[in-house]
Amino acid sequence: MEIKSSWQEMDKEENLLLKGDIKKGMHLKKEDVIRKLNKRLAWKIAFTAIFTPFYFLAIFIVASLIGKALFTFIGLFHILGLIFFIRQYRIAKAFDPSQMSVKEVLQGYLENIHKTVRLEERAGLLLYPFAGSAGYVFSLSQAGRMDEAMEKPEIWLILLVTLLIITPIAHYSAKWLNKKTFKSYTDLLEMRLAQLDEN
Amino acid sequence: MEKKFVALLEENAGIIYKVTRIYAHNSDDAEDLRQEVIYQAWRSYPRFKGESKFSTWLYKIALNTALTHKAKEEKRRSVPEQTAIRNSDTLSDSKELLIKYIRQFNDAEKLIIMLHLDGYSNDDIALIAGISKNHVAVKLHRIKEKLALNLKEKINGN
Repeated sequence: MEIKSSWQEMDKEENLLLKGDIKKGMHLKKEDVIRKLNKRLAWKIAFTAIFTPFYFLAIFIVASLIGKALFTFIGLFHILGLIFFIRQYRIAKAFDPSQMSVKEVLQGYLENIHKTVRLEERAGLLLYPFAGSAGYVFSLSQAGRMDEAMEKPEIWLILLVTLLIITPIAHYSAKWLNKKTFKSYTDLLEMRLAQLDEN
Repeated sequence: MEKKFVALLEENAGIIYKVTRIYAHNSDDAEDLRQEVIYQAWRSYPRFKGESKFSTWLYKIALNTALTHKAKEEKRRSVPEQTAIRNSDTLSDSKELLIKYIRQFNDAEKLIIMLHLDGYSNDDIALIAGISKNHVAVKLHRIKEKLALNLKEKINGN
């Protein structure tokens, strides 16, 4: 009883929260991990929306059929990516911790991070080889060496080797960066979730 | 709306104070957490329809924020936990001791004991935490035992 009253008496202390603190908090500029993640997603949506029309434009610029096919794939892939990014962003923005239990919030935060990161990594892995090939074909076509390239297998071999090196490097770099950014945070959330569940 | 929100927050300042005292690692972290709680509450305030008491709603937000908050590593290392958390010098020794003991529990246990001490029923705690009522009861029993043991040791020590 004494412990309870001691605890509840703390509410009666003065100056626990100053008006200045409240105003500062209401207009907080600093971003937590989730707001940073959502901002990153918003930027990705903006970039994808801006650059996608250029891929479709490239279909008309590039002369070779293979180039047209690559840019068509990349353009369509970006539209699909855009739809997924917007969907994920809307889910993240609609998330309202005031209506949820602590466990649901922890699970929701973890799911948001995992889904967004997974989406980015998978999209990247699939896109790097095609984007690399499209860029290569586009350069060849701009340099007027497309006919020559069709006859020389070594030109395609160079592309293949480059892609085989660049794709895993780009993929694992993105994975490493995401791990560096989010791992300690997701570990913390998982630890707290386990604490709630443990008997 | 802003005025009303500020007034409500001032009325319920104890909730934010206690949550930050229990969960923050140091004064810098307490400041970060306090502002984050206020920010989250202000952001959610338009959706507050008064279905529950404002204090319960705020407690939920404060705890949700504390449990999803991550202290900056460098801050965590740079300033020891006891230093300069605002108002700590205004509390009596017994209250400081109580805070000290509650801080020793893990983050989930802190949540349960805080709500219990503030008079919430096991049903309410279960709803806020998102675990079953039985689970709350079991945890609470263990927490109380630990707390009693700590206090007993303190009394014997004196």
